[in-house]
Order: sequence, then C-alpha cells, then structure tokens
Amino acid sequence: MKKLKSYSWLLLLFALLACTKEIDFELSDESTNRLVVEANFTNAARQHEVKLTRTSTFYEPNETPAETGARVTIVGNNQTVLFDEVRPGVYLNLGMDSGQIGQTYTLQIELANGERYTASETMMRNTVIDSMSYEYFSFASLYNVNIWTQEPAGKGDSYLWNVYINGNWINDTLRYSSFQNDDFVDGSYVNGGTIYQIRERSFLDYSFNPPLKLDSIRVGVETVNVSQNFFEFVVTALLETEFRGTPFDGPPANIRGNISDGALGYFSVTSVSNRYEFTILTEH
Amino acid sequence: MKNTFLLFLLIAFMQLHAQKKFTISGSVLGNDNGIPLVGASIIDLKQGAGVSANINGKFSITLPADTYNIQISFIGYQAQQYRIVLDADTSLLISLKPTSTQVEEVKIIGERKIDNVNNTSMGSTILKMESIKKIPSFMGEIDLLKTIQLLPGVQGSGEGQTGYNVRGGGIDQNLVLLDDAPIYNPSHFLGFFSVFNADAISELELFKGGIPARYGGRLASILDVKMKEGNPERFSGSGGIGLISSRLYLDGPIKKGKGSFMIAGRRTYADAFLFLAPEEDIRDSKLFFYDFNAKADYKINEKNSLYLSAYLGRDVLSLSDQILVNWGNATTTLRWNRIFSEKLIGNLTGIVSNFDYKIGIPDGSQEFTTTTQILDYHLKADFNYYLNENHTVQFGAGSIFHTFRPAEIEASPESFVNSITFPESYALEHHAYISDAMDWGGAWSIEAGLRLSVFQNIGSGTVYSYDKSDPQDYVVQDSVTYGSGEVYNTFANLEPRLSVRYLLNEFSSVKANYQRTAQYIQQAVNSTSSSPFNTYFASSPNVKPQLSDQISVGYFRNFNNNRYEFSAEAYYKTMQNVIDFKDHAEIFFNEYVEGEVRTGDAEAYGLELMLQRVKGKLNGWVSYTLSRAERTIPEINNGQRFLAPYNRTHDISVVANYEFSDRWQFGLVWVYASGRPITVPSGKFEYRNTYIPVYSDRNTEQMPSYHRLDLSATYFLKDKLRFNGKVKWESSLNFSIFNAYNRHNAFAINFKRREGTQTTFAEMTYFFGLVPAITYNFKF
Repeated sequence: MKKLKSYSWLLLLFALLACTKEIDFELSDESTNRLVVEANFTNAARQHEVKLTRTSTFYEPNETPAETGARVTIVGNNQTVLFDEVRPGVYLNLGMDSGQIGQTYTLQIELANGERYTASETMMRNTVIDSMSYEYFSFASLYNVNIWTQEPAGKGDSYLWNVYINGNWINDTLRYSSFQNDDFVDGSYVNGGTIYQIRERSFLDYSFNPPLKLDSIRVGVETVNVSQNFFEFVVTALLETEFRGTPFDGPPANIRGNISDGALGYFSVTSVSNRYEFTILTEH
Repeated sequence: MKNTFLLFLLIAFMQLHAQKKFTISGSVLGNDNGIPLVGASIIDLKQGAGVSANINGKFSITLPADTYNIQISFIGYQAQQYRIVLDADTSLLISLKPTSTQVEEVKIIGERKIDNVNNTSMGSTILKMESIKKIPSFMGEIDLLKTIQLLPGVQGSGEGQTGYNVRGGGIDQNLVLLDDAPIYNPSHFLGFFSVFNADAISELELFKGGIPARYGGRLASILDVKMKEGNPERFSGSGGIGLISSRLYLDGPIKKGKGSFMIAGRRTYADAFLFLAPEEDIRDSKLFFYDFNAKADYKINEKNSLYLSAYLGRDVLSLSDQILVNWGNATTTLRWNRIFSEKLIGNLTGIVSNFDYKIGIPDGSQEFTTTTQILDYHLKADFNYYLNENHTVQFGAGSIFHTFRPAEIEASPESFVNSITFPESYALEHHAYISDAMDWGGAWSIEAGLRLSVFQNIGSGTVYSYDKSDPQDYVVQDSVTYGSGEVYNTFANLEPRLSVRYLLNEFSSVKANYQRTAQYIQQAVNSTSSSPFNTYFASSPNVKPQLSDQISVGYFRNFNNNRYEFSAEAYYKTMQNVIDFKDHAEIFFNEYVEGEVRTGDAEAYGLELMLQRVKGKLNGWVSYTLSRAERTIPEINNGQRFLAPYNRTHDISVVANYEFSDRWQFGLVWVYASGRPITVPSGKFEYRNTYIPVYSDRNTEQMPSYHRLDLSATYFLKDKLRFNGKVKWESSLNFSIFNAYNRHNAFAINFKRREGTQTTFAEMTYFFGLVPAITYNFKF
C-alpha cells in the first residue's frame, strides 16, 4: 500500500471502465460504540488539538457525537501539556507547547464517566525542504509539485506533507493526503520528487485533490516526519475510504490505531519542517 | 512326476492362450486435415470392449484371435467399421471423413456420447474449441476461461473476469497448462480477457475432481489446454477482424507426410485510435496486448516424432511518458514421442515457462523499473503401457526448477530511486506417479493412481524468522542465509487418486472418487479477482504446502437414445494450510511477504447437476450448483470460521446453440449466481474530516445476486470463393450482445461519505452494461 502511486495509473484505466451507482444496502449490526481520538503533538509551538468523539451508526446523518467533559493531558520529557475543552469534544493546548525530537509523549484521557485511555509515540527526526518546483501536464490539467530534499540515511522515515493553498491547509481531509516513505529512496538526494498534484479539473474520476481554477496559486508545503505506525494508519484509512472497489482490493478490515482500551483513532507525535512557499502562475 | 506333468500342461495351456491373443494398434486421423483425432473411440461391436485414441491419435487394443467388427468413431466425423480377422498383430491407419456441417457437428461437448456414462473418471470435462466458438463472447473475443465458468462447480471471480474458483477453491489453486507449460497469469488487460487465442487452441480438459495421478501441483483444479497441430496435407489459414483485436492463423505441412506447423497471432488495437487525441501526451500512450502461438510436429520415423510449441504474450500500458506497465507469459515445450512397441508409448518433455511484470517510470529524476518474475525449467517423462485390454498403465516422473524473483528495482544513477534487489529464491519440485485404469469386466472399472510429490527449497536463499507475538503484525527477528545449491528444506507428500465406476445398465452408471492434492507454489493474492500482477512464492520453512482431500460421488445417465446426458455429482473437500493474508497485507514488492501470510483450514461441499442436449439443431446445457465454502484462519476474524469470499450458494448456467439454417446460427448464455459474501460496516468513526468504517465480523452479508444474458448470431456469407471446384475462402459475421438486458451487476460495494456533507451511502461499482460487438471471421 506504500506503493499506491505505482498502481494509480492502472487504477485510472480501471476507472475508465468502472461505473458506480448509489444503492440501498441495509446494515443489520450497528452495535459499535467506542471512543474516537484525533490528537497530534509536534515540535512547533502551536495550539495542538485533541478531538474526542464517539462512533456512530454508519448511516447516521448527523455529526458523530462529541465526547465532552474529559480531562486531557500530554506528558513526556518532564513536560505536562494541558488541554481545555473549547467546543464540545474539541480540546486545545492554549499554552502553545512544543515537543522535542527523539522524546516520547503520552496522551492521557479521563472521560467524565471515569474511563481512562492512553497512547504514546516518539517524535521522529526532521528533514528540511531545500527547494520546490512545479510542472504542468496539459492532458490531465494538473501541476506536479516537486520537492528537493535530502532523505536521511537509515530506513524507517515516513512522510506526510501539509499542503497550503492560498494560506488554507487543504489536506486536513484524508483523501487529499500526500504521503511517501523511504522504502525505495533511502539516503537519496531527492531532486524533484513529486509530492502533490494540484488539479484544475477532475481527471477520469480519480481526483484526490480538489480541482482549482485560479490565475495564480500560492503554495506552501511542510514536511511532516511521522512514525511508521501513523503512516500505516493514514494509508490503510485511505485504502478503506478511497481505494475500495478495484480489482486490487484486499478484504475490508479495521484500521489499527494506537489508543489503548479499544478506543479508535490515533495520537500522532510528529516533527514539522519549515514551510516552503512559492507561487504557481497558471497556464490556462 | 504327476506334478511336473500338470505343470507342463499348464504351461502349454498358457502358451496356447497367449498365442491366441493379438494386438490391433494404429492411429486415427481426420482425412480433411490429417490431424490426430484425440479421444476417438475404437470399439469391438461384439463384446463392447473399447479404447480411446491417445493424444497422438494412437491406440492399441489386445483381443483374443477371432473375427471382429471394429467401429472407429469421433464427433464431427463419420464412423467407420472394419471387419478384421485377427490372426496376427494388426496395424491400422484410419482416416475418418468429416460429417457434413448440418448433421453431427452441432454437438457441443466433445466427449463420445456414452463416455459420460462409461468413463471411470468424473469431475472432468473436455471442451472442443469449435463448441466454445459457438458460445456468445464478450466484445467478440472468444474466451475459453469464461466458457469453463459456465460449467457446474466453476465460478467466475467477478464481472467479466477470467479468474475462476473451482469447487470452493481459491483463484490461487488452479493450474493452467498450455501444451504442458504452466501459464502463471492466464489473463490480459485487467483480467477481462484470457491469453488463449481461440484460433490456436484445439481443445481443453478441465479437472475439478478425479485428477489423474499424472497431474499435480495445485489444490483445486487442472486446466489442460492443447494447441492445434497444423494441417499436414495443405496450407490453410483463418482469421478474424473484431472490435478490439484482429487475428491471423496459418498452418501447413513442413514436408508432406513428415510434419506440419501452425502459427497464430492476435493483437488488440484500442490504442490505434489514440492518434486522434488532441493532446500529445495521450497520443504517446500505449494500451494493447498481443499473443503469439506456434507449434510444429515432425515425424522422424515410424517410431519417433518431435513436437515443438511456443507461446508469447504481453500487455503493454503506458500513459504519456509518465509510467510504463507491462506483463506477460512466455513458454516453450519440446516433446519427443517414441513408440517403443505397440504396447508402450513414451513422451519426454522439456518445458520452459516464464511470467514477469514490470512497472516503471521511463525517465526523469524518479526513473525506475521493477521486475517481478517466476521462471520454470521442467523436464519430465510420461509413459502409457497398454498391458492388455483390461489394464492401461501410466507412469512417469519429472522435476521442475523454479526461480522466484520477488522484485528487482533498477534505477539509473541520475534517479533518486534506489536500485534494490530482493533476494531471489529457488526450489525444486519433483514428481513420480503410476496409475492403472482397470476394466474389471462387467459393470466395474477402477482407476487407481499414486503420485509422489517432493518439494525442496534450494540455496542460495534467505529464510527469515518472525516474532509472531502480535498476530496482526509479524516482525522479522532473524535470518539464515544458505549457500548456492544447498537444499535447506524438503517437503514430501503421497497423493493417492482413486476412481471407481459401476454400470447400472447400458445408460447409467454411478461413480465415486477420492483424491489428495498438494500445492507448493503459492500465489500472493488477497483480492477476489484477477490482477495483472500475479506474484508467486514458494512453500518454505515459514509456509507449509497446501493439502486437500476430496471425495465425490456421481450418478450419470443418458436419455432418449443418448440425445440427453444427465449428471449429478456431489463433493466434500477439506483443505489444510490454505493461504490467506493479514489485514491490509502488503503483497507486492515485499521482501517479507511470508510474514503477511496467515494459514488455516478450509472446507467446501456442493452438489452439481447438469443436463445436456448433445444432438439436434438445438443443443447446449443447463447446470446448477449448490455449494458452500468456509475457512478458519486463527489470526483472522478472531479465529472464527467465515465464508470464503468467493462462496456462492446457487449458481445456474444455461447455454444454448441453435442451428437455424445453413446461413444462420444463434447462441445464448444466461447465468445466475448468488451474491458473494462481503464484510460491511457496523459503524463509523471520524478522523481528519473522513468517515472511516468500523467492521465487525468478516463476510456476514451478501452482495446482490449476479445474472446476465448474452446473445449471439452468426451469419455465414453466401459467396464462397471456389477454385477448381474447391472452396477457397469462407467467411462469416458474428454479432454478439453481452449483458443483453443491461443489468448492473455489482463488482464491489463500498460505503462512502457524500462529499461536503455529513451523510453516508452505499455505492456499488459495476462494469459493463450492454456491450454489442461484431466480428468478421474467415477461413481459407
């Protein structure tokens, strides 16, 4: 699944042939009711967020229920990071704490009913973006966004890229995620590796990026070094939500998070690079 | 003294007896093209004893001295009778005349009419290419892998797919042989077409049970496909122009009476229209596949013949210069056939088979090519010994040298992609077998066989050991490396095969069969359908061979002067060490693919009913299968038994062919199958603005049922070009409609979020609606 991109052209071909249509499909077992954690802690001084929700039935048309009244802290490296509930289920680190590379941090959650959950991760080393470029492919109306960076020697580095377009973080939705690991590029100087595609229009239905039609696009990119576990979590979540229905599908399966005691979701501890910004003058 | 006398008498009696038996041997050829008529029947009309011509059209039958009326018959040919005064060994060269097109050729199944009842074997079917060609085809591409899916007990893996499941077995458990060479990926495109060019194939035999001892290596089925032999009398050819491909076939004598050759090619041309595309990048794209078949036979002398056949096929797909994907098989088979005596015929066969796929980015800083490959060298000897009219003994032995290349990534120095080679692995697979087809006279016949299979992992190679404390995630702990040529692991299995037939009367019989099969070559596949990237790995200290035991019983009856054939077969089968994979397994480009494997037990049972009409203007069959297939894998579904992903409770096929007139012929296929089981959400959770399904138990719900109607019509064009009174050019137009009532059959069901909203829905993916096609075929 790390090589999703290798198949993407075959998936395109597949998409040419396949059709989809909405159907009624009744679900008989809707008994799941578990805590869901979406939490992140980085080396940057910013308001880190912990979001607590619960699972809901699959066809429930409203937002998933918020878990309110919990006590949330992150501890590690002799630090205690405190969180306050600012909206139902949303807990913010108003003190704008930051972590250190190589240190292990533990998320501690105590719900109003007394249930306790924990999760730990160690912050990965960081990489620096030296330069970026873009190239236009007219047949698909897309811009490849390329990166120049030294991939550090030693296997086990996994990357997500935060992409900002005109100042808005656009890949806060999983389907727009940009990801890669060092399986095939370990220790290389990456001179123009494609990390993102900005599309002007949908192409053959496999448009993971929101199509944009602008005269100029201000692009910002941060490299986020994530744990191998979190990388797997993101990629398998994408497999379950975006890549279903192809001849390459394995059987559906639950994605594995890192929260204790049967809770779902993930507490990721990541290191974030400098943000590299540049402007694309569009060609249409 | 008395005893000595008695002994002398006995010897004299035996001598007398022996001298009074003689052998009739010979070959049966079609007089239209001189091709051996495989399976032609040679019957003594007085006693009813009979044999079938072997693969070379040769037969041998030993009978007491007497006068006989021998009848030689074969479907599509006029039967001939010979009156033979048998007072010496007799050799016959028989050439049968084809029957005129209207009369007998309408028969769909190529077996002799009473074979259904008389044969000891069960669970197997022979299909002739001529009959497969009459079945409506998808986009006009005649496809034998889709035709076998119309047989009871064989189920297609998905809409339009050539992958198939046999009697509760996985798509990884079928062996496909083309002139004895294994085809490791029998599909083109995304599995929508098979690699078999209809022009180049003469017939196929599918074994889903009762697998003879000479076959082995896969758990569920053997599909034995034979290429055509060329016409030894004159040059001829045929071809076709279709919507997606064109074909050309040529054959003729090498040296009259000495041998013949055949070559056939097919290429698709979907990309031929790309030059119309406005964008240069699209114009530079490629999307095609081709097949090339060739076969030659040469008779060195009366006793020795050589047969050489080859296949090469490849799919090529590229979009602009961005990515290049190609894959394909290449095989070569050289067979030396020697007639040692009228009773002993031997074949020595050498086979090379290769399958590989490549994925790459052709240039730029991300340039790379990965290659994954399986390569076999196979040498085997097979003998047929016609001991007497009651015993036909087959025996043989062979070895395969397998090479597995999991992935080799090559990149130029300018590329930032690393060149990486995952270690190759090697294995030897040996077999030896003996079987005896015994006619016990009267109602009983038995075919008993024993196959010994031995599998050896051989160096150089690396064996990893895994920390299995987390059942979902095995972690590599240690590795041991073995030197070149070092045998570091051996598996051996005895595979008994036994078939018994009891004739109830002239028209009906009951049969029973037991078989054990072992599989040492494993396919990394965790989807239900066929993918271009068939990746194989060997059984090893980490992955035990798959084993299966199957018992089946059957009732066979012919009605109405053999106009109808009915069969009912029931089977029960257990499997050990079946291959499954952990959740979200990484099966491609993974050095540690063994660590993704989870093995367990499987059980399958079913009932298969089939009624065929084999004579008359209207012919075809109706089949029904009731079946169940389940698996228990300790690390999957919490160790609870679950339905196999390809389980289909009911499966119905209707196949009909109607000869309306000299000009018009019509075909129809209707299929119905219960939906396969799927895993559905029991809830959802939200992460990064994404609704992610939560699943509970595996395969508890069912997809909507699958059904489809295909129709075809063939029009034989009036104007036959004649030369010297002989027909030199015949042609026909074939019209076909796939999915005539345009049903949207679900290929998959996904549970999704409606973008930008909080609502969710179920969505099905489906392929082809109604697809019409037209093909022009010609023969000269």
